[in-house]
Amino acid sequence: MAPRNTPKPSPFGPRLTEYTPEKVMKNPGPVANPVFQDALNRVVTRLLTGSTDLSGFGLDGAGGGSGAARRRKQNAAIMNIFNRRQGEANRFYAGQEKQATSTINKAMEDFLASLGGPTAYQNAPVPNLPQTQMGLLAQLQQYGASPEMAQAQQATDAAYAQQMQDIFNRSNQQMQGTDEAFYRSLQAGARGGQAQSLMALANLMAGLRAQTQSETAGARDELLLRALGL
Amino acid sequence: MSDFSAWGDFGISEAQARRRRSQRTIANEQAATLGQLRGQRNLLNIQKQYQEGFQPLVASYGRRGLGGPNVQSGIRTRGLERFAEQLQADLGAETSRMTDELRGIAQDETNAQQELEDYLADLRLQKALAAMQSAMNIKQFAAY
Repeated sequence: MAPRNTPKPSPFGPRLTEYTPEKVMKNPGPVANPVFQDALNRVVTRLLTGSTDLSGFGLDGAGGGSGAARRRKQNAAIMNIFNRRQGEANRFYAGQEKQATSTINKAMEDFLASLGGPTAYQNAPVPNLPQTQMGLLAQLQQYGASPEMAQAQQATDAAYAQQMQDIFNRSNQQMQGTDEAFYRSLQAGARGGQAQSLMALANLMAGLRAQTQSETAGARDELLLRALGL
Repeated sequence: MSDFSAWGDFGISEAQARRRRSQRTIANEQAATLGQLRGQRNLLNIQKQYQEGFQPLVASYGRRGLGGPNVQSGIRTRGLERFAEQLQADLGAETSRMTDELRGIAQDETNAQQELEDYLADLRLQKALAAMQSAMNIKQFAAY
């Protein structure tokens, strides 16, 4: 995902958050004043721990005094503002995630409710027409002939038709089972899509939170350094 | 079929599928009706043909001295019984043909209903997946 926006260049050069203590100590870069660099390293280390107490770094003159107290109060106010901002951002993202999660789950519920089940092969009709009886019974009896052979033929035809009907009924039952398996696969597909969407949403919101947190911390650090007169 | 997404065409795909189903049902009903009429006519013709042929058959036995008021002939009896058996066999064949035709139409109806149900179920699945994906995608623009 492309960054949502590009931070403005800081008048102090690269953003302070890029100078981790490890990075600075390993590769100090072109720094004219080693005292400033040392103080900067310690300030950065202290800020990264989340502390608002920047006293004792030799940046506000010897000892403490009203200037130091005022600066500490100012730093605390800056931290408070940005912490509140970060908290509001977290609440905003939590609300967005909850809303999207609700929408995703509702889509899943609606799908399951509308899916129903296959009905086409359930009790599907299989026609079996009754055998027509030959119409020479009276004539046969008139001449002393028996209808037994004709009746045997009729019974054979009826049995054959019944066999065919049974075969078709069994086929329809098998098709019903196949259809039910297909519907189960649709449900599994929906559940997979739901899980995938929820995971992608979680990743997205985590990325947005991290980006906001990074930008907030960067802006906070800039103001802190500015308040320190750096 | 519409080229839109599953539900972006606002139900056109579903409506078209249902319409095709109805058309197929109408065609099957017509085929079944015509088939039954044709079959009934054939059965009547077979009955009539054998009815009209019975007396000439009896007369043919009489001409050969195998029939008559004072003659009891096993040959004639067997002949008449086989004649009746053949009539029954022809009627059975025509009934079987009618049954097969009707069974094919019924199976086509069943298959058409299955195709429709499966298509609609798949359509609903695509709709649900699209809704889930959209709900996730739109949050990309949820910048604080």
